[in-house]
Amino acid sequence: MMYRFLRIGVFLFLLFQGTSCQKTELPITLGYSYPRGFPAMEIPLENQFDPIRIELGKKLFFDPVLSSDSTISCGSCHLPGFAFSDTLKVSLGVKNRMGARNTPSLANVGYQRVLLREGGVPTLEMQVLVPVQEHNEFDSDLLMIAKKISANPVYRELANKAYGRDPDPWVITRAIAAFERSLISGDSDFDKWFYKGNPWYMTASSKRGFQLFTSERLACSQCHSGFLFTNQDYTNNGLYEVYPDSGRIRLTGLDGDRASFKIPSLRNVAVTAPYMHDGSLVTLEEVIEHYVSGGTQHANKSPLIKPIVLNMMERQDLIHFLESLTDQAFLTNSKFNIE
Amino acid sequence: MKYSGLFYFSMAVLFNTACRPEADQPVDFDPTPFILEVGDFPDPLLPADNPLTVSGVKLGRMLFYEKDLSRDRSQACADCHIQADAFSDIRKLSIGVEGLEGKRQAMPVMNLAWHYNGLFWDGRSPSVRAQSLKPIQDPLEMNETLPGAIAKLQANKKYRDQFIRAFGDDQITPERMGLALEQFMFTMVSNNSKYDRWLRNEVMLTPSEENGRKLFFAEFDPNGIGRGAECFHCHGGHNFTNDEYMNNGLDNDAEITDNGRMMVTNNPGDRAKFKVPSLRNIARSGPYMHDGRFATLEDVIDHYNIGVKNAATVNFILQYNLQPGGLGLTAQEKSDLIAFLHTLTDDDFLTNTAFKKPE
Repeated sequence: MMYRFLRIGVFLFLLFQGTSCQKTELPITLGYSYPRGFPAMEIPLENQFDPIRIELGKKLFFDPVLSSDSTISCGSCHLPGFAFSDTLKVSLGVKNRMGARNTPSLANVGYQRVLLREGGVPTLEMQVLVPVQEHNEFDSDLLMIAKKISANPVYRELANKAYGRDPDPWVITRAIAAFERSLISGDSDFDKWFYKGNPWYMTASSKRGFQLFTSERLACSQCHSGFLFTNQDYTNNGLYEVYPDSGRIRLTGLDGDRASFKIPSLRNVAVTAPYMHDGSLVTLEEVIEHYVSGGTQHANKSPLIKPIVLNMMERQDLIHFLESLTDQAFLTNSKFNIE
Repeated sequence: MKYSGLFYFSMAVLFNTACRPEADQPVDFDPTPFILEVGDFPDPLLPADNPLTVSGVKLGRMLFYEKDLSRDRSQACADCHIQADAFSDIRKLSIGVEGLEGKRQAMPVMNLAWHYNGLFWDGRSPSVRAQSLKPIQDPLEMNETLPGAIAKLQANKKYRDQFIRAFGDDQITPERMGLALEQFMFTMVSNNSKYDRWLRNEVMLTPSEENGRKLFFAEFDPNGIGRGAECFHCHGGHNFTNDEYMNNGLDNDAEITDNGRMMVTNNPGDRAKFKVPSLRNIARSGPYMHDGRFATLEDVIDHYNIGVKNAATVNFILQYNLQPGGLGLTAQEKSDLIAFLHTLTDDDFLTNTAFKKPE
């Protein structure tokens, strides 16, 4: 009974959240537009794109002042060169405390309807609070951060230009969210071919891999669908019989959500190793091997995941396709990095 | 001695101020088109989205010779694609920055503007721009990441400026690197060999060269009356290649170690097929074959004369080479063929200052 109310509450909250959003075209001043094939992004009315907001957000994103002992920033685990993920199984927070889950990529995060692996946080603005307060991450306090930041005239000036107020928690969460929404990645070799019709980038092997990926036999694109290569749903992919991490049931309390995790976008997947919510698979080859095996038995395992036969060539083609989703211009874009 | 610090300091100040006016000079986008001279060659079908510009070609040339593109700043493209060797490597297999051997022989970089059917021995890259970024990232070659290479270029004002001239702003992206390298490589045209001059009636071939030419362009006569070496079927046209992938009978089925084109097409019918290379400057671009197994042109001619082995995918064109006795070329005919192949050497190309390392 309690869960039902909770669900209705979540539903109303989302509804309310939805009304305060609008589809936004990118202003020319940002120097780019949505990539071909990408829809306009839904952005909260009070935090529309603005170059100064993004600049402030970027500064905060890479500023270690956000962590309790000023040792790490968002950018310590979300590295631009790895599509804003890192190369570790789980990242290290302050005092080298081990994180609980693998760091997800932030590429195109502005298109995610709900955040975190169990989908508990509805906006990027709210998500900022999670790593800030998490004991294993920044172990900090946004009020204290705001106090420290307000002492800095550069931040005060930027915050006033961007939002017309001093850098308080409201500004900090908005600005970081604005920067994160600007992390749009849609110029991979695949995009150049599929969405832009340019024949000079996609190899024949990658094209065959795409065919395999979308084939009924493999059914990868049943979940990894659309321009983000995710349907943003939650599922169990048969990683273990017993999961140390109970996944989405922590949010919904429903048995059907036990050990279910958010289906990640596959854009830039070749540079976001290791894989899975716990970073347990190290290479794309291992990931493919997992899906070929059909996974282990679990009550909630998706019926789409069953043993398949895939020869060496097909595996290679599939990997070449996944590699063609790497947007090198995004990884190297100085707009998204600090000097 | 105690003044030396002051001396260096004042020199630094002097140097700094002397440099400043130049450093402040604004750099502008310069889309001046590059006019590609192709002489008697047909006009190449260049990709419409990458028009050649003087500044783009220059940038590509700078990148081609840029050692910073390798992990430890020790190798540029030009270290395995050496101009005097027709932009190929005289080593059987090139050695990368980690001291490791590559898997196949370095291909000569020339007349790529007329390659429409994929790049590399197995044709895995659909374009020169896509190809050009691969050796940078290959662990056996330059072993650098694109972000790593770009960070090094971005730190270099020379490159920031040249990207502005070529593309309008100083954003260095892998795509732009590929486009610039593609532009430069499209300009690397070799079309002024002795053979080309002979075609224009400017020079005479020696009797040996002339006999070699005739053999090159003649079919084998199974009746044993005429003489022919069959080369032109595959190595025909102005670029001496049909731009196809073929198995030329180096190994029989059991001996094949490199599946070549099959790795790209997933078609067993393409097993051990490799790109038919252009024969221009062939006397300078040895060793030969995808694995560099033949050190000399003599070895190559011997292979086609009597050494061709049968395998499932060997091309039917080699039917006469496969029969007992092969083509039956005499020692004189073989040396005539080699004399002709030497007429394909284009010294203008091999010494053209436009392709040399930029200052």
